[in-house]
Amino acid sequence: MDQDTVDIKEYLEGSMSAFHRLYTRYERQLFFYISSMVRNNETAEDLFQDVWMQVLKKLSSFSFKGKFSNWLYTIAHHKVIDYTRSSGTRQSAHLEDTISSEDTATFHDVLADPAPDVLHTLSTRELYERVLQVVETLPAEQREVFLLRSDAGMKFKEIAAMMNISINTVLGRMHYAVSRIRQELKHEYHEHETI
Amino acid sequence: MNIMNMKRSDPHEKIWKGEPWDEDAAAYMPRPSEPTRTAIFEAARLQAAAVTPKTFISRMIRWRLVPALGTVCILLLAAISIWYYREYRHTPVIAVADEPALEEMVEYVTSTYEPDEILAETTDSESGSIQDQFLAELAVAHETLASLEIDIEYDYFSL
Repeated sequence: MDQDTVDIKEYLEGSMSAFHRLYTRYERQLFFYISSMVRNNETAEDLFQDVWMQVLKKLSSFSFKGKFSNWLYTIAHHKVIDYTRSSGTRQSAHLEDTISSEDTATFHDVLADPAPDVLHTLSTRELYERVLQVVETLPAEQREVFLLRSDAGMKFKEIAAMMNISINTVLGRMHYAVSRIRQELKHEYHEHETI
Repeated sequence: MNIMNMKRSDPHEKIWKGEPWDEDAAAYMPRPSEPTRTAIFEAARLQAAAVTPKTFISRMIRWRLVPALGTVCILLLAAISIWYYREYRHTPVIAVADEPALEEMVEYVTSTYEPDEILAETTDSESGSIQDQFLAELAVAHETLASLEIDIEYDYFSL
């Protein structure tokens, strides 16, 4: 039994400390996902609260068949979609939806490429801070796939099912996102070297 | 420390390859505001309070069920023990080792190895070797008797 399941069951028996543990485990990651998707802090706060309200409302009927984190991010994903639809702020040009199979093939090649040693000159803090900044600049679809993979730790097929798109599209978006982040990091450590 | 493990937990490699980040990555992410957190916790507290009576009832049922089930188990165990005792109390554990059975077996063995009958049919020249044979057979009879006594004592016949 994973820790989420334990905490949910304890919370459903009235333990607030169990809820505290559950909430804290996802607080920052989920908030970052929402705020990155809507790019408005106030809206992000509202949606984040809405997500947790829905979680609390539906938690007693949670089936424990799937992972809680996937369920949580699915709720958040739908909240973000509802918001973007209602506000008309869909940002992406949908260019990456036409990704060819060649692009998805290159993603696997990209994975095999090891990080350059010079990248390790950046501290973990500098690295994450830089990456989180770069993530904000990605197109919405790439950003979402990247965050669901890296931040939420979901599998590609889970992301595909959640977003109702093909796995090739997911891999293609991830490929673009990772390539873009690598580009920015290379630029970052070149700057780092010249200082 | 294992080099493979070091590689696996290296955030630089994970970011470079687009793998899921370590949990400590969250430390570099912003938190929601305090009012938002307070509102969520308040809702969670209300929800927890709403589910408590149901939990209380289920606990009460559980508390009543556990002793009841325990009592049933103990009674069942006692009934099985009494039945088993009654059924197997007179199993011939020692009864098999009764004197008549032992005596009967001794009589059989001694009559089988009766020395007089053997000696009566032999000449004097053969009597020395026959006596040796008799002694050997007597030793065998002793062994047989001894093992028979053990068998009877430990009730191997009842198996």
